[in-house]
Amino acid sequence: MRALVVGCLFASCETVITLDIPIVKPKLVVNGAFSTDSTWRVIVSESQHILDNAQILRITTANVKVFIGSTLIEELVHEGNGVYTGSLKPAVNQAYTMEVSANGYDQAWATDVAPLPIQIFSTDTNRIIVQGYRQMQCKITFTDDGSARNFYMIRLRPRVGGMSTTTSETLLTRSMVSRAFTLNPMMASFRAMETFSVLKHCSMMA
Amino acid sequence: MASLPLLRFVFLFLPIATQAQSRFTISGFVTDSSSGEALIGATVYDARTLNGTTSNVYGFYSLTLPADTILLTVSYVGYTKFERTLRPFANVSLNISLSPSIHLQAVEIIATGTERIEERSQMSTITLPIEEVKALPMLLGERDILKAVQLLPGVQSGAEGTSGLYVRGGGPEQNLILLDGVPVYNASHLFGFFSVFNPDAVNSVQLIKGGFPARYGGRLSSVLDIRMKEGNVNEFRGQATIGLVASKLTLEGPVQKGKSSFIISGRRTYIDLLAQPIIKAVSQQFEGVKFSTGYYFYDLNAKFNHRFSTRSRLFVSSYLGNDKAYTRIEENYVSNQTEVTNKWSAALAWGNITTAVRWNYELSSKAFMNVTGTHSRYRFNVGQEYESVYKSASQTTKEGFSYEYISGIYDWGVAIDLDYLPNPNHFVKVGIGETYHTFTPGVNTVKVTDIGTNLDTSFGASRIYAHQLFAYAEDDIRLGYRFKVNAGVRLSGFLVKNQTYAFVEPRISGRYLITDTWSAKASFSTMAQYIHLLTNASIGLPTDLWVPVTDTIRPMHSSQVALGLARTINNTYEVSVEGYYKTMNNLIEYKEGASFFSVGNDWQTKVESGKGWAYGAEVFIQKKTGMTKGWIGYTLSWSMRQFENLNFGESFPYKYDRRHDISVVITHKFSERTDVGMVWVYGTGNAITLPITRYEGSLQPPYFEYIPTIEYFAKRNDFRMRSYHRLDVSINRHKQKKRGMRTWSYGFYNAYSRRNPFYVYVGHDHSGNRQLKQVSLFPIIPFFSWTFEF
Repeated sequence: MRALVVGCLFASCETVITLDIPIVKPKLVVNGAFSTDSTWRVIVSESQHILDNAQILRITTANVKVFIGSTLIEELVHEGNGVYTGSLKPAVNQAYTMEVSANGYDQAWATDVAPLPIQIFSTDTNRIIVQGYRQMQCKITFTDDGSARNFYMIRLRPRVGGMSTTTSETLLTRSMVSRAFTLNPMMASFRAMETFSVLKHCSMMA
Repeated sequence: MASLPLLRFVFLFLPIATQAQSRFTISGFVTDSSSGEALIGATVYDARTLNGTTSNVYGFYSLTLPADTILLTVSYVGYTKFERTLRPFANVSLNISLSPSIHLQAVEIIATGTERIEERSQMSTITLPIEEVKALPMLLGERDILKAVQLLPGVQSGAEGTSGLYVRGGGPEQNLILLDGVPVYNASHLFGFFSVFNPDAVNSVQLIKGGFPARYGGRLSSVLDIRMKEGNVNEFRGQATIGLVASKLTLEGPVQKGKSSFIISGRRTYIDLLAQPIIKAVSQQFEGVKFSTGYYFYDLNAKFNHRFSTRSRLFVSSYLGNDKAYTRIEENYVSNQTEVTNKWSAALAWGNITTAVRWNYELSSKAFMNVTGTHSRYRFNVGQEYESVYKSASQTTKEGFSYEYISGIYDWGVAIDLDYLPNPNHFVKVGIGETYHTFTPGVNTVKVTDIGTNLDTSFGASRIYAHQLFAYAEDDIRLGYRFKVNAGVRLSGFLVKNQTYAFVEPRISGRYLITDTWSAKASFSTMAQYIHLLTNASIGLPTDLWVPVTDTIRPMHSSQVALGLARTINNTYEVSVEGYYKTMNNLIEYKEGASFFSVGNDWQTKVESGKGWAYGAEVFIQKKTGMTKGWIGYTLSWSMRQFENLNFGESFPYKYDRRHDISVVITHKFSERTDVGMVWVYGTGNAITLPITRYEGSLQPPYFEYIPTIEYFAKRNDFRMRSYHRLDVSINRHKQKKRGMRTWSYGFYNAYSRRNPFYVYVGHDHSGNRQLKQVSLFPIIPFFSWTFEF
């Protein structure tokens, strides 16, 4: 905020500088989401020096295994370009451990559970014209468990082509059970400043 | 009340002054002859025996000497010395007014001034010369007391241009900032770029960094004791300043000549007023959209005092200040034959109000009492409102929401302080007090009006009530010619939610005169702090929350030991060299990822508790008199933190850990018409946290096209920004006009336009190559202001 305020008052200036950021051995990175409506799908890559300009290197020769406790339930198959897929879907609230190993790297692993998906009660859209531009309003209604701190990701996709835009972070209160999103670029940019006590993080794409 | 037996206990240890026939007491007040303002810390002594004392914060002095001819001498920096031969046969009441020296051009006045640095038992204490502060160049010409304090050794400034104080490795929440004895919780305007203290209304500023006297407590790292002017009791005076950022007006004068006076000083910024036409013009380009935004702050200091008799005096002082930033947008359009109006507004505001009522009473020629009642309020709120109105032929519907976040702290306090001066070898101060706090650490109000929903709710932390109690006793003891010790103890306690915390805080500070002009000093002090500031590591915003200790969050506690040498050279230069080591316990920080927005529910679960330690050395060379005045300060320091759950439990440098810090401050008076000021500062770059590697983020079902990159941070504050240095210069041109003195001030901030680091981030060049970029805030910035004193 301070930078914002000052930025308005004076043109701040940037200088390219050099700092000695140490070079460390790349680590194996596995990333994917545990979702009850999808089969396992993860990317295996390596970490890269922060100032390295190359594409992040995907690992195509890794072994990716899924366990419940110490019991192996599935080994994921390399689909191409470092993406590994499985055939099973995680069960709700079951803890799974994923282990990844590849030559030349230390082993990586993670344990997590898949949460219960939220139920969307209704979606409602409305086309409007603002200053000659076609815009769309969209209203999504779902129930939030007020006692838990949750993060939601809500995505909107246009059915027919068109430009894809992402709004800034939009935040919801836990108390609100329904809420209107206006996909108006100007309003959306101000929405980024919305502030609530309990944050629900949504990224939106239209 | 439990404190009464304590007070009795304290009095038991008071040096028993035998009222022998052969001793008499000379007592009274030391004031400025033209304005009647109290002169704080003036030296009052018998020039023949060199027995002496100093005036207290109300200008009161008391000197008990054997019945003999004495040469009573009173001196104060910048004032003509008072001398009178007395041969008292009874106690003498003598009020002394000193005249400001006006012969600066002809001769250099060699004023021994206030008690010489090597003679004081206290160490790590600096009195800021207010008149010099007014001649110094400052950002945008806005004279600022806290920014002048930042130029003293042992005090680090925070981010560029801001007024935060980081004293001997402590944080900004560890400073006790007192305005006429009332704590000010947020001393900043404009997100920290200006401080709330207007030098036009200030009489004296004293900074204590270590060896704290027992009368001060409640914060770990420093005490900044600011005393407002009392107002001219003899004639009506005023001062008006028009600057780039703000305009100020100060008026003072007698209410009843010689008996009562007032001072009132106000300031307001006008960026918002000047910008309004431009914003309007811009918003007219968008059909159907109205837009307005702005920012302003104002502050007001007012004080009234009345002398009921020579022994009894009342002071009422108040400070009021507010900051407000706002944006309002309204848009209109038609959709499906429905007229739609969207209104959106947001505001961020914070402000302090402090009020103090004090009553001085001279109990006897040796005892002076002050009773203080105080009220302090700090309030911060941020809110926004959104409303849509749909008007069609058949019906009108509304939907919207409003949100407000409020946090604050309200204090009521009462204190009784007693100064007792039985003889020149003792200066005893005792006191008790209580503060009743009401904390509102973060309340959220949400209203939703929507189709099918109507919600009006408040949630978040509830109010917390607490009592803070203290009692202290200290004595400034002279043990022969060479030794002088200030020894004391402070008892403090805090009662919150059936939980009681208490500390015994011993304090000792002393000097040993090696020669007449050299002394060695040592001090040890412990401090307890019962309130915490929850602050986001990166920025110092008013969103920082003051919260009390609770049953799980314990009080902060510090111990500091300091050693030093002090010397006056040729009656002109004061030199001190000090080293210190300080430990701090139960410091708090937000957990990784938590911030003030999420603390409403239960902030106690969002913080980590840890410890800190700091050590270093400071050199201070000051010239207080003559045509050229100023100081050079150098600090070599280390400041570390360690939290079990931060940085993997390893210790890390504090953000404002600064190995080297140099300030050079010079003012020079060429003539009565022209003077110049110059400030040069240098500091090692601030510690920063930078990512060392990056990796691919998560695939997100059911759509896989977007994969973010995640940056990995290995260690906290493991990198350093480039060093910071800056030169500011100013010239002040004074001219005596028919109705008063006119002053034009011009100058440059960052005169050689150094690109100082504000923050560093990983960015890209035009071809998309990754590189480290440093953002700088202020290039060379000229300023001017016009002042008229009448």
